[in-house]
Parts: sequence; structure tokens; C-alpha cells
Amino acid sequence: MTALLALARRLGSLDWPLGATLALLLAWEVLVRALGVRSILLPPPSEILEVIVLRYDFLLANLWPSLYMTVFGFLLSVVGGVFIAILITYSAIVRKVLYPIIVISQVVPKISIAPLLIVWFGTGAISGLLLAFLIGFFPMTINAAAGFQAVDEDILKMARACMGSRWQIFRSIRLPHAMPYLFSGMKISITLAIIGVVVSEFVASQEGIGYLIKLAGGLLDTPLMMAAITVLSITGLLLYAIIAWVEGLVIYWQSPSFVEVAQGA
Amino acid sequence: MSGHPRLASGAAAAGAASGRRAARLSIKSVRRLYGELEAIRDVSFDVAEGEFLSVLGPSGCGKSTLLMMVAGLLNPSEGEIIINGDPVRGPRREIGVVFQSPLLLPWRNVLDNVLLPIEMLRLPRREYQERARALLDMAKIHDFAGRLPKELSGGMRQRVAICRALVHDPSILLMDEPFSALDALTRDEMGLELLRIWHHHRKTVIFVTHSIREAAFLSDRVLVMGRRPATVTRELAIELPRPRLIDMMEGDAFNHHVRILRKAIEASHET
Amino acid sequence: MRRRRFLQGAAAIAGAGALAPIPRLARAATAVKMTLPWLPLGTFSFTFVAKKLGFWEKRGLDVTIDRGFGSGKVCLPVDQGQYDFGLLDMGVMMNCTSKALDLVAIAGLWPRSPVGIFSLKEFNITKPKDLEGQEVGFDAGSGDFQLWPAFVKATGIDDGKVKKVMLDGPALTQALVERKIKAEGNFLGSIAPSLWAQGMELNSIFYEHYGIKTFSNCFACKRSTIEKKPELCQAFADGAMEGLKYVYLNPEKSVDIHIESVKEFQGGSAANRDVIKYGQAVSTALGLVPSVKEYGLGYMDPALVDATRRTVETYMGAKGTPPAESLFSDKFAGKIKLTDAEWAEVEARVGKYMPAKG
Repeated sequence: MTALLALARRLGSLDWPLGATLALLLAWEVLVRALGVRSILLPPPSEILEVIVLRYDFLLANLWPSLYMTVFGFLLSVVGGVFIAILITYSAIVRKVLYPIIVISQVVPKISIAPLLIVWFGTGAISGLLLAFLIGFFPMTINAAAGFQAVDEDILKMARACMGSRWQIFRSIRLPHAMPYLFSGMKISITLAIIGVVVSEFVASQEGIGYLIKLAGGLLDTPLMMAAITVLSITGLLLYAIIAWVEGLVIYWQSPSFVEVAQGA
Repeated sequence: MSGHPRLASGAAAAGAASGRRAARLSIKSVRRLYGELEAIRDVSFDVAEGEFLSVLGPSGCGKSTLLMMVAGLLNPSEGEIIINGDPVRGPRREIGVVFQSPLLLPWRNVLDNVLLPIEMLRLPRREYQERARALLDMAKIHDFAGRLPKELSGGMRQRVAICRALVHDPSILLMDEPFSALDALTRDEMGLELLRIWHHHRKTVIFVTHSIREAAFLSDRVLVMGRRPATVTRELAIELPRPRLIDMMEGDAFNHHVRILRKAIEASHET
Repeated sequence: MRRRRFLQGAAAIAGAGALAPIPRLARAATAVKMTLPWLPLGTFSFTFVAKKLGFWEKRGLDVTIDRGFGSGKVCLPVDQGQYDFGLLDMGVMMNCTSKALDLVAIAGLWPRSPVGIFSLKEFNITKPKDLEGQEVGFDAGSGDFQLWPAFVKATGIDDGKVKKVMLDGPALTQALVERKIKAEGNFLGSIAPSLWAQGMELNSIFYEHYGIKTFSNCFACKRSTIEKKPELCQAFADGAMEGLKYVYLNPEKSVDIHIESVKEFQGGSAANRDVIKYGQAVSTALGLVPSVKEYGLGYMDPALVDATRRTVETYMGAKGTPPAESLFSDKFAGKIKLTDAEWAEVEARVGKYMPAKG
């Protein structure tokens, strides 16, 4: 019940962003038509909407594979990232060995690895998943590790005084403490997961939104391309919103965030 | 500095005054070094069962360090601490600790915070839940059992911390300047609350503070610690009747004790 | 004293002026940017020859040649002014004009179309219907991909049953060689040379043989370029066609020049020479039609242009394609010709590289 109320309040406070977006779309529509811009360069929003409506099944059919690759890649990042963070937090040896490897893995542009992944794993789901994971785990690891380690020394002292074991202290104190950090990491990871999947599809693919964007580009069908991009963006937004919503449910103990305060919550 | 002639008699006096038995806690020639720096020189004293002992001194004199060693969170560089015949090697079930700040877990409600030691000790929650509620009731914050820490005032949070320190029924309660973060009014009030709670559940209490008045008002006995070197410089038995009443603070007896303690502190500054 | 100095100075300047080479043109060379439709393969050797042997330079042009990413990706950059001229498939060009891009063809290269679906002989894919149920690779920008809907419509195969795999240029060739895909859309001259050089054989399904009659690669530019700078178009076309003639008549030397001009081919094995050689041969074969013999290199037969437009309109639903006459111009082509003897020599040499009759 509380969750629904929170959601309703969030939606209610969407007036401003919604209004601004609509105004932007209106301006776009009017300008493109008034200046006679060709659809092949920049179609008006009405045309993009038309394509979305007329070809929604085609768009949806390509959205699914990208979507579940994104979600799975994201989940992999979260689990993998947190796991690595735990290793780093609790083992100095692991930290010394893994940390440089992790940093190097991030310095190498993932986009340049995409063709390699495709050579190794083919054009199927695995390459996209792997790329999503490679790009997405790092923010999770960094944030989770920070969250685990940033616990107040005094609280740890108190927990040890209460006879807590290392595992108990992790589960009851470090983990809940790290929740805000984890969710920050997740918000970053989900956007990166989308990028990873789409990039992998750009390099080589048989289906997916990235595939659709390439296809449309090749056919010089800019309205279709932009429809695909729109669908992708909306999906990304929804995924992000879901995470933010879950965050609100899980992290109930902190004072309202800056955003909420700004919205007069 | 060590082996003060008054120590033994002080303990005996306290024991005689309150009719209690042999020492529960023994601190023997404890020394603590941080590299070359001597944080605590040579400290030895006993604490009798059920005694309320204050350790008084200015900040930085090592009294908190001493308390942490009793709690088993720090090891002495030299010397030994013995509780109920067993040397302290780490945190023990017989000990409850209250720190300067409440250190409540923000994501747990008050009741769950109080039950934290039960969880850590892997004791059955059901049995201790009643006890926890009773403690909260006694601390007069029973209605807040389901609230989150952020909804409580500083004083109330510290009361929760005290309940938490008592929930697993320790025999020894260690308190490290528990009221110094509160405002003066709340502080006095909390002192009275503490005594009231202490009357209910008689524990051996070691109370660290830098407030002379607080030490004198609350304790059976006060140990004064100096800074350089960090060791016990004076020991004073507080001869005021219990239960302590706030009016006593205006009386001559009280202020006499305060004067003695103040002189002792000033003296330790000069050394 | 000062007078002597002045005279000395004047003499020095005059002397310097006498010694300096007089430029052949009154002004500096015009910078021209052109793009190929694909990688710098043997099929496009003639552009490198034209540049290296100064065929453009002597006409006052300094031409930069960029590689491309498919005919489909040539239209927009040319339309947007990024390039002065682009080499691309005419069918694709016309499809673009239906989307309000204003391009005009000024010189033709391949009246025969090499566009189709190619596969290794061992896979036995010889007819359109064989593609159903297969994985077919495409580069989204390539002309064969843009014309694929036309092919589907003309042959009546089930598009849904053909699994399209999107790959990028070089990956396309590799994927077929490594048998990761069974077939791919491409231009004969882009895929065949690599396979032939490795001793492999391929099966070709040419769009042309199934009703998609189009003029293939040609040079195109914006209409405004023709209107405002016709001399530029003329000079460019002439230089290019002169290069083409050279390749027709001097294949070996052309290979040398190609290797010198294109870094990617340098330091390679003998196979590299073969790849370029085959590419040139295919390209040459595609240009050998009677109308070109008669009217000169670069000539575009109006009937064929018309057929291209009809194909595009009918099979690609490209409504709004401007009339054919407005989409090409033969006035720039035809200055470079071969003698009958030269034609005969060339035909004899490359006859076997003609796309199989259909």
C-alpha cells in the first residue's frame, strides 16, 4: 500500500518533466515541418509515432531479445560485481591481485572487444550478455566495495562488542549499509548494460533493437530508425524507473533524497 | 603512581559500604603502547560485584582506551584483565557496552536494534523479545518499539543503546561517556534514568566521564586518571546515600567530593 | 648608392621570376573529395590510377579518395556536402532520390549489375528459394541490402524465412570464408576476388537475373554541383574515365599502382596481387556493353536508366522517385573511348568474368 502511494506521488510530481518533454516535442514537430526538413534527415515526432504504431509488432519482436539480454546482463553485473566487491573487501591478497586486472579491463574500450567476443561466441545472446557484464560490473564493484567499507568504525566496534562474527557483521551491517551505494551502482549498470547489448548488436547480430537500427539505417529509413531508438530509450527509462522504485522500497531509513526535497516531497 | 595505598582500602570501603563480595573484575598492571607512545602507563585496580565505578579524567588521558581493553576490543601491551577469573581475550557475553553515540542501525526499528546482541549471540529471539520490551518499557520508550532511529531524539536513542547493552543480561556494563553528546538538561535527566535502571538490574558498572559532577553523583567510587603519564592518580569513595537525589547536588557533602576530585585533576595536570 | 641597391633588388626579383616554373593553370588545384562505395578493392583501381598518374591533376583537380561503407551510406554524405562525388549503385541512388535526396549520376561504371547473394559452392545455394531457412549475412549499408526488398518482391520468396545477420564490411568476407554464414549479400567484385585468390569457388545469385534490372555503380553528385560547377564535373569525369581506360589496357601496371596507393595492400602476399587483379577483371567485365563501346566510357544507356527507375519504383515502393531523365546526365561522359582493336583485346581477356547470363 505504502509502495503504491509512493508511486502515485512520484507520478504526480512528474508534471514538470512531462510538460517540458511535451513542449520539446511540439517545438520539434513545428520546426521540422516549417523548415521543410526531409524525413530522411530528421522526421517529425508524428511520423515516428506513426511508425511505432504501424510496426509495433516488428519493433516489439526485436525489443524482446535486446531486453532480456539487457536484464540478464545487468543481473550478472550486479551479482558478479557484488561478489568481486566482497572478495576485495575481505581479502587483501585478492584485492592486490584483482584490482589492477579490473582497472585494466575498464581502460580497454569495451566497444573494441565486441568484435572479438563475436569471433569467440558467435552472434548469439552470449556475446551481448558478456559485453553487458564487462561494461556493467565495474560500477557495481566500486560502489559495493565503497558501501561495504564505508561503515562507521564505531558501529563496527559496537557490533564486535556485541560479539558479532565477521559473517554476521557483513550480513547485518555492511550489506544493509551498502544498499544506497548498491542502488547507485545499479542505476549506472542498467544504462551500461543497454549500451553493451546494443553495441554488440551493432557489430554483428540477427535480432534486437541494435539490429533493427542498423537495418533501418541501411534502408535509409530514418523514421524506422528513430522509432527503434525511441522504443529503446523508453525501455531504458522504464528499467531505470523500476530500479529507482525498488530503491525507494528497500531504502526506507534515510532522509528524503535531494530530488524529492526539490520536488517538495 | 601505581600501587596506591588507598586502592585496596578503597575497594574494601566500597565493598563494606554496599555489603558486596569479592572483585568481579581485576585490572592488573595494564599498559598500552602505540608504537613508542605510552597511552596507558601502569594501571591496576579491582571492581567489586555490583559496584558503580567512574573513571574520571580529561580527554586524551586514556580512559576510553582502558574501557575498550576491558570490553575486549583492544589488547593491552602489557598486563592482564581478568573477569570472573578468566582473562579477557576478546569481547565477552558478560559485558555490555554503551558508547558515546548511540550507534543504532538506521535500517532497523528500535526493538530490532535492542535485539542485536541476541542475534549476534545466536540466542532465540522469542525468549528475549519479552525482555527487550520490558527494558524499553522501563526506559519509558516502549511506544517507540516499532519506530526507526531517525524518528527519535538524541536522548531517546541513547536510551535504546542502553537497553541494547542490557538485553543479553550482562553482568558488567561499560559506559564510555554515554551522555557527553547530549545537552545539559537531557544529560542530568539521563543520569537519573541510568541510576533508576541500575537499581532495577544491579550490574557492575564502569562509567567513563570527564564530568566531575557526573562522576560524583552517579558512582560509588571514582578513579581519577591523568594524562601524562596516563595512569590512575587518585581514588575516591563517594559517601552519599542511595538512592541519589538531584537535590544532593546542592548539598555540602556532594560539593566536598567535587572539590577533592577537582584538586586531584588539577594536580595530575601539573605532573 | 640607393639606386644601385634598388636595381639589384629588382634584378633579383626578375631573375627569380624567370627561374620559377610557370604553373600550367593560372590558379591553384581545386580540392575535390570523393568516396568509394566500399573498401579500396581492385574493382576501384581506376580511381587510384587516375590520381597516381595525374589524370586529375592535369585537369586542375586534387582528389581525395575515401573508402565507403556501402552504396546506401554514400547518398547522405554526398547530399550533405561531405563529398563532391560518390561512387554508388544507381538503383540505390534512385531509391535515395525518392526520399528527397537530390542526386544526379554523371558517369556510369557498371551497366551490368554485380549485385546478388553469394555463397560457397559446397553449400549448393543456387536459386532464390534455396535462401529460405538460411542465415544470410548483410552489411546494412551495402547496395545489395537496400535492394533486397526488391529481390524478395520479384522472386516471391518468404522474407520471414531468411535469417538476416548484420555484419560489417570486412567481417562479411571473413564470415563467408570461415563458413560462419552460408551466404551473403554483396557485389561480385567485392567478394569473389578474395575467394578466388584462395582457390575457392562460389555460387552467385544475381538480382539482375530475377527481374531486378538496374544500372549498377556510377558517379553521382548533387544537382547543385552540376548546375554551379559543370567544368568541375567534366574534369572529374574525364580524369576518372581516363583512369578506367588505363586499367582496361594495362592490368599488371594497374595492380602495381593500386598496391602503391593503398596501404592496406602493402607488404601482403602474392595473394594480394591476385585479389586486386581479379577485382579489376570483374570491374572491367561489368563495363563491356555495346553502348559504351559506341558512345565512350561513362556513357549511361537511357533505356537502362529508365529500367532502373522502373525497378526501383515497382519493387521497392519508392514513390516519389523523380523522372529518369532528371536523375542522370550523359553530357559529361563519352570523351574517353577505346579503339575497336582495344575493345577486342579487353573482351578476350576478361570475357570469363562476366556474370553468368540470365
